[in-house]
Amino acid sequence: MEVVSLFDDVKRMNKRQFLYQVLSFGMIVSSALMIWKGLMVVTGSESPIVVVLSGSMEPAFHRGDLLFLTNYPEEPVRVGEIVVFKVAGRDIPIVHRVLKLHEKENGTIKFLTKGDNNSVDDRGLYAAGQLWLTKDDVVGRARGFLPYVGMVTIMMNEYPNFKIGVLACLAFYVLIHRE
Amino acid sequence: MHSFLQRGNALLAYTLSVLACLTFACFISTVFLNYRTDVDISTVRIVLKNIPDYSASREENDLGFLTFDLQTDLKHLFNWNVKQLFVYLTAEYETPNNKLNQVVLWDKIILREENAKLDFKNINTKYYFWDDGNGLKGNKNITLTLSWNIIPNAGFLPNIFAQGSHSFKFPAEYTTSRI
Amino acid sequence: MFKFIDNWHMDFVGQAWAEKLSRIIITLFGAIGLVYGYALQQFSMTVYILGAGFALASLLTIPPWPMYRKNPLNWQPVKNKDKDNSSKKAKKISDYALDEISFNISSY
Repeated sequence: MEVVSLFDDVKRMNKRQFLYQVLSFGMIVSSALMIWKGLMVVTGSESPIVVVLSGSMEPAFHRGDLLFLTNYPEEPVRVGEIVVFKVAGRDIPIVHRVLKLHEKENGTIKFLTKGDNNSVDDRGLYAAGQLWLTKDDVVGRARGFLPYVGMVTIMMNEYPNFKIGVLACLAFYVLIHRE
Repeated sequence: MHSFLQRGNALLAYTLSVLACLTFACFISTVFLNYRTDVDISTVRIVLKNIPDYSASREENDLGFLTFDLQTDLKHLFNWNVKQLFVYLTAEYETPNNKLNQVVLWDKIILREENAKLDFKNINTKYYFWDDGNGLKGNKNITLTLSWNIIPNAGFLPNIFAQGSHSFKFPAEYTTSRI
Repeated sequence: MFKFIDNWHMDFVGQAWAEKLSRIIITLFGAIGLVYGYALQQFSMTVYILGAGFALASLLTIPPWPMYRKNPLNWQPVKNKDKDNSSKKAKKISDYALDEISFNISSY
């Protein structure tokens, strides 16, 4: 019953209309990509929106919260800020707070981080032998916060079938239904 | 609106968009608020040692010990868009090695307005006051400042400096006895 | 089972009513929640009140209550053109009816 009524729309389309549907699907995908790349330019961060994946910053951030990052070179890193950084050997960037910072005369900085919910600093998380983070490790500084919105992404990453299902449904819906 | 599922879907979508509007209203209503306030900080006891820092370079670095008094009332900072205050005490100073050093000595997470009146007498620091070298000995100007990072329900993550700070100096000699 | 849900129809007037009513309820609860949450300075209150509005609207406007079925469409009766055709049609219809019944039995 349902399936027949879904395909009715396709049956009523001619070739030209079907192509139009495919194109509009392409538009959705490419505009999403454009927004992402545009945000990268505006914020200066290589990933301007991140989802919190661990509980190490609780109770400030929980799993699934969304953070908006900026990474302007002229804005100095300071103690107490929440930074997102990458560590060699770890795929996933870490969101933690700056605990200690030393800045040289020529502007080079080295700093140490700690998660609010962790009892020790992050030296154990860094690469072997690494004592400090530098500016190059920083992906961005947390500037904005939105709760729970990233939960969908976490679901998608943890249940690949769910992800495939959602994407398939969306693609199917866009291709099949007329506007 | 012709079937059960479509009505449920439309209802859910409308509720979520209303929720987004409400969240935005909450964000807008608090975005221009001034979160600065006065604080009294003073140091009670100051001791300086020079011992190997096994957590970092293993070289002999300056390690300061201090106890401090802290008085402030942050109750009025709480509103319907403040989930948490992350309050931290920073020591900021200059050494021949580094133009700027910032070390967080103490922090506290405040979740409820009832706990936001701080009155501490002679308390120890939470983190070690390690210098990056031997810059604490005889250092004439160490400034203690209190700051807080506001974690909202949704919105910006500002770091606010309190009005009022305390400066002190370290002795010119190391303490060799056990403390 | 899906057929059962799919057939949970309202008539056209009822659908318009249901949509209007659901929007009014949710908007109203949202507005009340905003004022109350602001007065209490507790945003969670706002969210709970909106949630209550959602529950109420779901209860009132998703199931096809009798009030949404007051204006059924009056279809034209089936015309009988000639005898032969009509008997064929009648047979067809009865077949369909049988299918329908067997389907329902199997699905219950």
